[in-house]
Parts: sequence; C-alpha cells; structure tokens
Amino acid sequence: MGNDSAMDPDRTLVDRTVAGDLTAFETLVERHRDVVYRVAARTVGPAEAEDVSQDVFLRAFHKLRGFRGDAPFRAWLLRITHNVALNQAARRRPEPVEALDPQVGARDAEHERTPADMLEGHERRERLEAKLRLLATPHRAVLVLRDIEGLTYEEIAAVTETPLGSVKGRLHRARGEMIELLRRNTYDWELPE
Amino acid sequence: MTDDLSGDAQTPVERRLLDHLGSLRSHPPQAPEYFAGNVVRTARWQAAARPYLDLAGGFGQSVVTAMQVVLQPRRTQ
Repeated sequence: MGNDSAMDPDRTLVDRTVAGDLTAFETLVERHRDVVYRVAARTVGPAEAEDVSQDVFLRAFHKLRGFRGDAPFRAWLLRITHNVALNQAARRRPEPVEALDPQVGARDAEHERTPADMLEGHERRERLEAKLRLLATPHRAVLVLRDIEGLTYEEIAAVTETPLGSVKGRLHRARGEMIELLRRNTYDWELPE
Repeated sequence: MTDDLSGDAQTPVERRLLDHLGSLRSHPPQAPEYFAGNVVRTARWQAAARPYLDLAGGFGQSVVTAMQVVLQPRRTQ
C-alpha cells in the first residue's frame, strides 16, 4: 500500500472536507464512486449496490477525522466498502440464481447460432455474474478485488485486513470454487481440463 | 493502483477463467448520475444534525447514569 501520504492525490480534498468544505467531499465521491459501486455491486449484487455505496461514503464522511493517511484514501475507502458489503451480504439470504441456469443455457445455445453477438455477450456476463454471487463471500470479495478490479496482493491484504499469504491462498481457493461452479453449469465455458 | 493479471494464472483453466472475468471488467456496473449529489445532500444534513444528536445522546446517557445511581442502593438492600 505504501506509506507515502504526501503522494496521495486525495489528501488535500480530505483535509478540506474535514474543515467543512462539502464541495471537496463531493469531488472525493465523484472520483471514487465508480470503484466503490463496482465492488459493492459484485459483492452484494446490483440491487443493493447503491444503498451499500451510499452507506460507504457516509461512513467515510463521518470517520474522516480518523483518517491518518498512512495508506492512500482509496485503499481506506475500499476497506470500508469491503466491510460494509460483507456485513450486508451476511445479513441477507442468498439469491436463488442456480435455479434459472437450465433455461438460460438453452437460450445461450440458440444465440450461438445467431449473429446477435452482443446479446450473447450480455447473457454470458449475466451468467458469470450470477455464478460469482454463488461464491462464498470472502472468496467472492478477493476474486473481485484481484481478478476484476486488478488490485495488487498488497492492496488486497490492506483492504481485507488479511495477511498477504492468506490473500493468495484465498484467491487460489476462490478461483478453484469458481471453476467448479462453471464446470457444473449447462453452458459450455470452454474450460480446459 | 491496478496490476497486470496476465502472469497471475497458474494453469490453463485459470487463464481461461481470467479471460471470462475480463469480460466483466470491460462492462462494469456504473453508479447512477445522481449518486454523488444524493450522498452529499445526506452528508450535509447529517453534519448539521450531528451536534444536536450528540447533545441528545449525551443527555440520554446522563439520564441513564443518574437512574443507575438512584436505583443502586435499592438493589443492594
């Protein structure tokens, strides 16, 4: 994560927000809303992503005086996102996405013979998102942060407050679980043996 | 902040999985346009209300403490 807070482009905005300047806070929200929303959407699902993201920014706003700057603001914000999203995921029942798969698989097969590539791509991504939501929550979180958001292992360790070795182990298990989910699917994901 | 994922996969099947996940990366869910405005409006009224809520909380805590002090001797009798 690094300790060079002077390099953090958000530091001035944080200081201005703490001093009561809400336009600075608005700039922080605009700057980071996409990554927070993406991580929230892929951890708790799109239906709850907006509420979770709003909760994240409001918590960050009220905790901002406690932000010491020993990690970049973005990492600090993603740590809040991770915690809020995991708590939210733990509170609700899992979505019944598995039951829909056979029908979706049949539609996919039809679309493979049509020129509607965009539609097929859309359905493919929806199926993948659905599979992602079937992963155990800690696995899903680390897979999203690494394989979709592209954070470094060190960043993920800081965001999830987990030792580096555990992050790598968890990611390995998450990929294995995801591969198993895709293999059990009626849709052909063209996974090599 | 982001990292190159290409050397990350250990096996062909993991590489294939990363290809699939890459399609999600290229089609990210997006926060609605009104999002930042909503957050800042809520933050503004919460910031304005916070001193009063702290005051009310402090008063409530004082009442609880006072009740505990008053009731304490009765419990021990």
